[in-house]
Amino acid sequence: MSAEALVFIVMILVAAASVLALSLVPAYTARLTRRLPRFFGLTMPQDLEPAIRSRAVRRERGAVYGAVLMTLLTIPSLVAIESDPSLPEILQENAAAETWLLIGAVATGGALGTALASVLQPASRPGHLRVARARSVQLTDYIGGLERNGARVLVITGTLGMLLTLVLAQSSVVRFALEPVSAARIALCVFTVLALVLFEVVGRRVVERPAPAGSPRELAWDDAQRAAIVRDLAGAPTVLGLFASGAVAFDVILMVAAPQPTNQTLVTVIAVAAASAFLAGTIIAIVAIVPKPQQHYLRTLWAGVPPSTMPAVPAVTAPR
Amino acid sequence: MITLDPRSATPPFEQLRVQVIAQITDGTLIAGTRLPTVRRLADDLGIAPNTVARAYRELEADGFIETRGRNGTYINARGDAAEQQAQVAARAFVDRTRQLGIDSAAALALVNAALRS
Repeated sequence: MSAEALVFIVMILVAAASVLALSLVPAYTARLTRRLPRFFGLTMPQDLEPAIRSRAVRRERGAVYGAVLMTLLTIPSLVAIESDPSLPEILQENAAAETWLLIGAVATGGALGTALASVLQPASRPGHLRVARARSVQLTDYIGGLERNGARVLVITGTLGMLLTLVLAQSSVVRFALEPVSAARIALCVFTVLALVLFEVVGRRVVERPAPAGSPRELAWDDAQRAAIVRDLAGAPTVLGLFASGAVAFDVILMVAAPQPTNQTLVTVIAVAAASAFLAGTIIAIVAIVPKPQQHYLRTLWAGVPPSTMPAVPAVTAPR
Repeated sequence: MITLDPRSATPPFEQLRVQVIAQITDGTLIAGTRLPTVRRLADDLGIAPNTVARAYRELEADGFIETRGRNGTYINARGDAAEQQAQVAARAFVDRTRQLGIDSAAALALVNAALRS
């Protein structure tokens, strides 16, 4: 294992230990909880505050455990890649490859840990009155179209772009200043697709979980925290897809920089397409942030109900 | 929103049935809206799945909802043919505006403007 990878692993472990230690400090968790109402666009009910705080801390710890566990599981494969003489030379990797592999492990492990912390969380026990939503919910109620489809588009663009780069490099149609084929690329592709599958499968599982609640306000907070988990899950493929797309963009730069004996038109077309894709991605990212995506669930599930008017006690309809 | 009081003298399936009918009547639940699955609603309300299934069966027998096999249970369109068509169109409009990220107030303003024109 390279020294760079070792430093990266130590940094991950130190950061994880710091977050875990902070989550034991009441002042930190209180501050974390105080930020939530503004973030989610809800008011904080005093009776629910301990439960909300506990879920927020649990989510944070889940992400840390997941990231650390996946990092530790990746170490043997790093050692194996480096020491296995039977692997093709191109796959016996360098420091950059190992760091990319670790970034993929942290992002995917963090998302998996968040989801598991949510799925394995014991159900709350509301009082004798119970409220439930009268219509079914789906993934689209918890995460906006731009974030949802943005993750998918980035993953598809990144992985397809990388595959195209590999094919171009093998076919010698164009020339690169540096060899673009590497185990890092393959590992990044695998983690990117894995993170998307995780979002699509586990995200739906999180949404389908029962939501026992004793009041509309409690249900709204459950929705808010569920939305946060779904968005965390979408974050991993988004980041990894962005990395993959960035790697492809880097390859395009290397391709433009290299002297091309032929196919100058093809190189120009690829460069313009990559630049356009980057510009479009930047515009979409800005548009996605503007309407407070963390409050998307309020627009779909609580449309027309201001947070301050959500009753703490449900109204019981008398049978006719 | 459905509220269930297990201490009430009214059986849970009846509380559920009555509230769904009330929400269909006042327009909260419009035609084409998909209801939660029997198991999900039972878990949410802390009651047995059979209780929810019984309420759904009675609502279906009365024509308020329809079960479309594995696709789920949906609110039926009620009233004459024109009103039924309007309800389905309203559901499609709501789904589309939500897809586009348009909030309820803006969507209602669009409908009002269209009705005035």
